[in-house]
Amino acid sequence: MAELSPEVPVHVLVVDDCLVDRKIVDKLLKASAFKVTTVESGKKALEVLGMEEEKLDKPSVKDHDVNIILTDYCMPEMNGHDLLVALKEDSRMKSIPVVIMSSEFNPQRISRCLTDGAQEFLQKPLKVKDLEKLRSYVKPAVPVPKVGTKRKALVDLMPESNEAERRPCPAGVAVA
Amino acid sequence: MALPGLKQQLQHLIESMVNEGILVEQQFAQVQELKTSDNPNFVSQILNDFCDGAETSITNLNKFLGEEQVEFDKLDTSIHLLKGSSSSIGAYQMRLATVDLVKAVDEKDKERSLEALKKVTHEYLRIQYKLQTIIQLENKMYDIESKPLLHDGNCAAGPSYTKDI
Repeated sequence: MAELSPEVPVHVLVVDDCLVDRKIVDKLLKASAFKVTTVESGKKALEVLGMEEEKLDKPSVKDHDVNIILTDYCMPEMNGHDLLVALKEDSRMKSIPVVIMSSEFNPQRISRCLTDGAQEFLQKPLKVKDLEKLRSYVKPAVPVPKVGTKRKALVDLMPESNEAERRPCPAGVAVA
Repeated sequence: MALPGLKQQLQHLIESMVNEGILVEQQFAQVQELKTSDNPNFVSQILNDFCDGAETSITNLNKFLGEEQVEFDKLDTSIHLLKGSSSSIGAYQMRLATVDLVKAVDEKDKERSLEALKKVTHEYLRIQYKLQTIIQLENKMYDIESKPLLHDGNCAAGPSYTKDI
């Protein structure tokens, strides 16, 4: 699961084909001190996360930057459930919590999304209290003791943190 | 008109829309609360986006439903956009009309779908006129609030003296 230090805002990737809803959710989240990236489709979400085959070299948002994905269900071509499945099938993305939102109350749809890995299904229009729930799905990072740079470098390299696997190493940067 | 007068006019307009049953007060208030000093035009922007989107969706729906052989799957995107956006700004009657359209399209009933679309269009036009008035009032308030202060000791001249709202 994406981890977060207490000082860093939770970064939400919002996926919604409706411009009005994107803008409102963007504002609601920012008013609650979230960091927000918005896209208009599931396909675009995969692109910015670096999951689209043609655009693997340069994702707009690094996978570890996004802490949680909030996606509309009803979208053309790739709906929220399709996006959920694509994310859960990807080894890098599957740990990122996905919350689905919809203006329709469809119990079968809700059940299918939750069964296939969605953290929650929220009814639109969203309220501030709905968005506060998002924070609870992001695990806070274990604080790193500040005892000097050597020790911190060792912690960064520890394999059980999974950070080395999850974070792509920028080209040209050697790991000490 | 001075700022307090404009704010009162806006408030009365919103109250009348709520009393008429075409606007959900709580939902619209949430949109208003999202207006910030760095985005003072938020309400008028959202309402303009809503109207543009609604008109595009209604146009598309009319086009698809006007065909001899209606491809009902093609209607889904436009209907969901209408339903979602009307719900988000609190356009209550329009949202209800869209729900009826969803049912008619799900049942692939062309006649009922056309009737339902007429109702959606009627409810849109009913609220659109009042939303345009809200936009005008918001823009007038913004014009007043963003004017540089002229009554303080330092003569206001140039952007450095522009009041942040």
